[in-house]
Amino acid sequence: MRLLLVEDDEQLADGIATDLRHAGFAVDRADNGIDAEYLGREQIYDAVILDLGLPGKPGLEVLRSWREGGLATPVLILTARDSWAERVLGLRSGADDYLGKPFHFEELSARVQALLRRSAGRAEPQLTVAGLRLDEERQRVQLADGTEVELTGTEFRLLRYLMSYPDKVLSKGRLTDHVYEADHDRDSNVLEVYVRRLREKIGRERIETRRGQGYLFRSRS
Amino acid sequence: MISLERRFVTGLATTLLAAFALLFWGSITAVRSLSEAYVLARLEHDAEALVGALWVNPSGQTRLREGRITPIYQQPLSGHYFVVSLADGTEIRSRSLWDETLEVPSLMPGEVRAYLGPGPVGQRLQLRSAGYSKGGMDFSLTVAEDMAPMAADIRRFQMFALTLLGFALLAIVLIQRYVVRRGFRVLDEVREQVRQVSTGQLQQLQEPGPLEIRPLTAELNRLLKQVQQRLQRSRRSLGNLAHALKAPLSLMTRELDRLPLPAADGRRLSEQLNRISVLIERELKRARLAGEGGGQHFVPRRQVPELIQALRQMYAARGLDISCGPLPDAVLPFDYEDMLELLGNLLDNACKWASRRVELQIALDDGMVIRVADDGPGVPEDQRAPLLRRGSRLDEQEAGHGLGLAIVKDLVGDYHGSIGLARSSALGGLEVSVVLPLPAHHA
Repeated sequence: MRLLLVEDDEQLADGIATDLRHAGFAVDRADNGIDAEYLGREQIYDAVILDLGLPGKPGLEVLRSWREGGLATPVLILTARDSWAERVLGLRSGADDYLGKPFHFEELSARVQALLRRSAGRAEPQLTVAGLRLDEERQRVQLADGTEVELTGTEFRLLRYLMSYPDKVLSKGRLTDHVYEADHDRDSNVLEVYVRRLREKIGRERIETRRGQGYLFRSRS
Repeated sequence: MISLERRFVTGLATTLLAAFALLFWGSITAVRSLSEAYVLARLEHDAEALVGALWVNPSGQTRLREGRITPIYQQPLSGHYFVVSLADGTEIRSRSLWDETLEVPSLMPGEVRAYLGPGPVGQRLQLRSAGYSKGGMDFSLTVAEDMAPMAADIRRFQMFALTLLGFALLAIVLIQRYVVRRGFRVLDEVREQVRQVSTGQLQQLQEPGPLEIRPLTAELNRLLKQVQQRLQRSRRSLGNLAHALKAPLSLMTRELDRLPLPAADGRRLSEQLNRISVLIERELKRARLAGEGGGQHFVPRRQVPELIQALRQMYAARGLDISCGPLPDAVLPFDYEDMLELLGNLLDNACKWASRRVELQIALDDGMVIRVADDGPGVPEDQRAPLLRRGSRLDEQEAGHGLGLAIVKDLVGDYHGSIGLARSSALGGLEVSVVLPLPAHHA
């Protein structure tokens, strides 16, 4: 899952980004409204964390322009401006959730997870597909026979994305977009390496290769 | 209270009344003196005619030639009398005197006296006595006329004049009142606009009004604008301050969460940090409040559904049923941001504690009555009063709950309202009711 973090306070952004990466997200950052608007339009993010008081262009305007442009990515507003009038305005402008500063990271993480679940059309907090249970807190996966398997950061992100869209063909490009950060080396061969490692851990038959199209995570064995 | 209209009309009526009284008195005096002069002139003419009719008969007696006397002096008690007093003491009296007598003076020739005196059968007479000398004979002649018919004429004239003046006074006052009212109708428009500003239908006065009050309306508009701008400016700068303060606070919260501190130390630090956050939050929110008479007005039908929608979105994951009763169709003179803060905090609290349902009711009575109920665990009766006391935090397990209620209390205080906690009879949880009186000028 790849997130866009828009926050102009550099130190705070560093902190949040680090925590989000630890939680298994790929994180791109923008520290002003204009960059944020541009990055958001790329449509490759699974969620956006948006501060409102931004240099360049106010956060609310960025959000409105995204929504007017048809961008449906869930947006969580993370701001110091948390009067109810501002909350209402923010949510009316197209935000999906609103969190006031200061905050605990667990709260932010929980809300982002909830947004992602909602946008993938899931109701239950645990990601479970065909006997595989993804433990998002500890970044492990529990197999149908109950054994737990450790995952590296990239493996976890890749598996989570695959499990979020079971039985759908996901192109290599799309997977790369949602698993890696913007400045990462985007060699599709690297992705193949990770897919192979995942297959070794969860079972070869789970991830099907569709030649020329991409990969598919099978919910039925 | 001063009513300009009443002042104008009473001032005018008083002035007119004084002027008319003077006019009336002047005309009555003039009429009376004119009629007296007229009577005297006629008496003088009659006297001259009588003197001309006097002759001495062959037997040496002084007589009047009957044919030359005006018949009115012949009719008994006609009101026209004369008495001729001869030097030898005999008197020749008009037949109209019948057997009455008149006290008449004896005057030297050339002497004339005009006076009022009693006459027969209670008549009041104007008398004219004069001394004459004719053919070597001296005598006095008194001619008299009853004033009663003249007095009756004057009274009739008085009545007529009074009626006329009365009608004129009434007509002028009515016309003037109409003119003044028409003049004030321009002010009525301004007054209506001021009312609309106070109830929030208007932000500014549009009608500048007549020249006389234009400085007033212009100043009012300027002040209205200034209040709005100040509020906006201070809210903006508070927003900036909040923004600036909260980034480091967030960072400190994060660092503290990650530091490998002994549990007790961590808790202590985290408590302190939480205190700072809550304090800043509370004071910033307090400072944002517009309070009575400030800001943009509250339109429940417009703003409450948006708030409900926002809350539904925020609590979407829990699938809460947040419902809202019928909203009053009104523009209320409360600042809408304050009201959103009030309702938002109440509803947010309710949502945190509710298991499935939250219900909002807003009604207009003497004031605005807000009821927020949930189906959560509620608050035991003995803990309700402490919860309402300033600064208490019953519920540290749910972040911001205590703060939310503190802000609500601040707001209710600012608007001179009242707040009450009870068990919701419909939902079983806590029901918070807030009553905000409408400002007096609203009516």
